[in-house]
Amino acid sequence: MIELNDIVVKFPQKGHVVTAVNHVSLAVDDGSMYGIVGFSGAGKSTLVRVMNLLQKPTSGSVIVNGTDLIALSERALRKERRNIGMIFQHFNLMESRTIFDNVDFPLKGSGISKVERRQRIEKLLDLVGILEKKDAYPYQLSGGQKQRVAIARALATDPKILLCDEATSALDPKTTIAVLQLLKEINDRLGITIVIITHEMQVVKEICDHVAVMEEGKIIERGEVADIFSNPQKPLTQDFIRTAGHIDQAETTILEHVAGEDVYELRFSGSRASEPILIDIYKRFGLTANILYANVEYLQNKPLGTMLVTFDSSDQLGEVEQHLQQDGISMSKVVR
Amino acid sequence: MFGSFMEHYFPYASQMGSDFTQATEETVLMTVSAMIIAGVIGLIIGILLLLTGSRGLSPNAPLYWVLDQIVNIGRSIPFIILLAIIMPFTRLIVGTSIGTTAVTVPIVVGTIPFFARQVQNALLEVDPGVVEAAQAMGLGNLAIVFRVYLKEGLISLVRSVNFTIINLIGLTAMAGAVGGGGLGATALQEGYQRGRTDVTFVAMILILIFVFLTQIIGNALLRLIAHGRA
Repeated sequence: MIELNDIVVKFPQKGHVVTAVNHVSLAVDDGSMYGIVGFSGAGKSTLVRVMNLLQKPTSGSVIVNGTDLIALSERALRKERRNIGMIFQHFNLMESRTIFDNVDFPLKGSGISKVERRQRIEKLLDLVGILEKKDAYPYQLSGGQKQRVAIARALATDPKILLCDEATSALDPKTTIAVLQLLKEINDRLGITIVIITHEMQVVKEICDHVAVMEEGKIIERGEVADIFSNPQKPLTQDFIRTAGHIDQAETTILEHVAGEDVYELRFSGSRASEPILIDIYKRFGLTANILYANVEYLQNKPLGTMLVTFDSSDQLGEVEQHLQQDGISMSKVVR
Repeated sequence: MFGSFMEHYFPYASQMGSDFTQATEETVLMTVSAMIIAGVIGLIIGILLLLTGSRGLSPNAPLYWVLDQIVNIGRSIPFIILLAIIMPFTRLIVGTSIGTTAVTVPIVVGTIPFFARQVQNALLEVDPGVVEAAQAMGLGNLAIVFRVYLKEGLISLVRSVNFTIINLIGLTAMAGAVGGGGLGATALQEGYQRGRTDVTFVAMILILIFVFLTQIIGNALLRLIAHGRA
């Protein structure tokens, strides 16, 4: 369990102070996969560094697994950090050490016997699927392989939490999916809490169960991934969701074809995704909807539907919207 | 055949075989001992500069400023002037101001700031991300210095040592001008001042061989620790 309470991080710069994190409180439950999404400069990388106190907050408290990190001595904090693994955008492997020695790095001097260390390292390298490279050096590996090594290294000390700072941002889409699947597997099999910092909503959609959206040092929206995706409140969240779906590309083409008509976007989740919404609208309001685009995706096994439609009349649209709202379906006019 | 060639072209140098052997030994001795002493002190100062710098692990602006100024000033004093200025200090430590042991003192003093800056720059090349990863793993500053900086920066450090040794050889030659020993003294006193060009020439060749050997050994060492990276 990670609890951040009213965290503020300020950086003094020449002549002024930059507030990177502005009164953020956040709770991440054990075993959760929590995504924190935002554009660069939103403060998300600073926020994740507060979780292991690589960044000391200007004010606020950091409680990890029941321990108040700020109250700890330097020595006790270093010990506590061994329970919090971290991986990075640029992997940060030691170039002068073999893959095996990289994973061994956090274990050296921990009092564990050499034989036991070897067993653990080989098990971890096997888990991340890179055991055959154990005697290679990092420069001989691809980006995806390097991140696998970094994950093995982060897990070496048996942490309860894994922090991922833009861990897939330097990887190509296919490798990104593979690394995300690995993280998901680690979460499932080892029960490790994973916090994922990213600027790609696709990453959140792929594996997270919770998400927080950050803008200018604040969390502007948060919740379960399925809820946020089906009913995003803030424009920035809506933007992020668009970039994560296929709808963004589809929209431009569709709008070109129906120039002059009003297009509406319907979003629905859960059981509603399997119900005949449009027939319902026809029966109640006598409106015919023309489907331009429709898609159902599954997030954490919950269906999430998106539709772009035009109506043959705009008379009762206000009531339609209200009716849909009651059923948990959001309707909005697509702005051209 | 070779003997007569030597006698013809190197009339004086060919008579000085044992002098050259002794001078070479002195040069090697001065270089190696100065490198070891200046190496240890320079390494410590270089690491302190790294740690106390604004982006270091333990920023300390006043200490950094002092060290930085010492290094800057030390590097700015021309060696030939340092030789003269430092003489009372030399006499204080080694009891004399002439001879091989005596000139080792100014050579060490002249090399410390040079090497300290090299160490600082070499270690600054270590990826800050790797240092951050080590911090995240719970390593303390001292462990990071030894297990991350010195290990990951080893290639740059070896290059710095190599470069410093070659610079040192130059200093030992200059020290010959003020009563030091070694090949520099031979070249200046036995060769130049007596108009025996062949002696100067042979001393120069021996110094060049020493420099080349240093480079060859340094490069071999680099290949050994680079594991195909460099």
